[in-house]
Amino acid sequence: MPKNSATGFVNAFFAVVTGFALIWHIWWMAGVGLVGAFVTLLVFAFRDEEEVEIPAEQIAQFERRHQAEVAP
Amino acid sequence: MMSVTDALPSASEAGPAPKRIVVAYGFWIFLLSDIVMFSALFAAYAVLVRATAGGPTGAQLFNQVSVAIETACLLASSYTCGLMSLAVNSRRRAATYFFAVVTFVLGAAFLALEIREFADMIARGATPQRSAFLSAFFTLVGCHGLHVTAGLVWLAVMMAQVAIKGFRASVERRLLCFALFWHALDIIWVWLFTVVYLMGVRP
Repeated sequence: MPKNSATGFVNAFFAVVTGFALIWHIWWMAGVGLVGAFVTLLVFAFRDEEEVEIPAEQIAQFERRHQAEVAP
Repeated sequence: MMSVTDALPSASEAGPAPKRIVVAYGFWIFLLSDIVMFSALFAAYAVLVRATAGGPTGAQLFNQVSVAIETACLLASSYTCGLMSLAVNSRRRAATYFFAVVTFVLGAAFLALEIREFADMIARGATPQRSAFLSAFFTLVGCHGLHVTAGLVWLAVMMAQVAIKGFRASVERRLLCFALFWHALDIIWVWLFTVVYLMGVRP
């Protein structure tokens, strides 16, 4: 499975900063937003572990617990 | 005796498609959405091309020689990008770097010529504010230029990834996507060259 990552959230934040700055012509802030988004992307692109594996035994355990819970 | 249909599992039993296929498919969908955006910009340009508001027309502004050199640079960079893909497929690191540098230099030359063309037009008073034709022109051609800029940054990052991470599966998938992106930009430029520059100087 793809590993959890905060990249989407952080990039959305910088996109808001960039959009606000472009609308109000605050050029330094637009620069900060773009650089921030780019650096976030770089951190994401250079991470080493991209996936996590959930062992079959763990899924079976979840499933058994769920079955026990919903059993009448 | 086992027939071919016995040997191959049916599509639903074969499991998910290889990641390389899935990633390339997703990137094609992005490229198609990008082409939809360019279609809208092309349509706007086609509608507004005669709306010069008494200002300069394309025939008075475009420098055919400069645009021809730009086109040659971009087409050649697409060719060297293809050679880079071949070098990646056969895991030749030095050849990958070499063709990446050539692709980057040709792309940067294209961009430099385009920026010079824009600066020259603005110096002659042909700014995006001058007429609807020029607004549409700068939006359409500038959008393509921004894509090329992003492509150059992407190529530089990918070379850093090859240097640091090597030819691992994720890096190879990204290089595949980059090649798709770069060739798509080339195709868009062919349309742009035809619609804006060739048809623009037609009397």
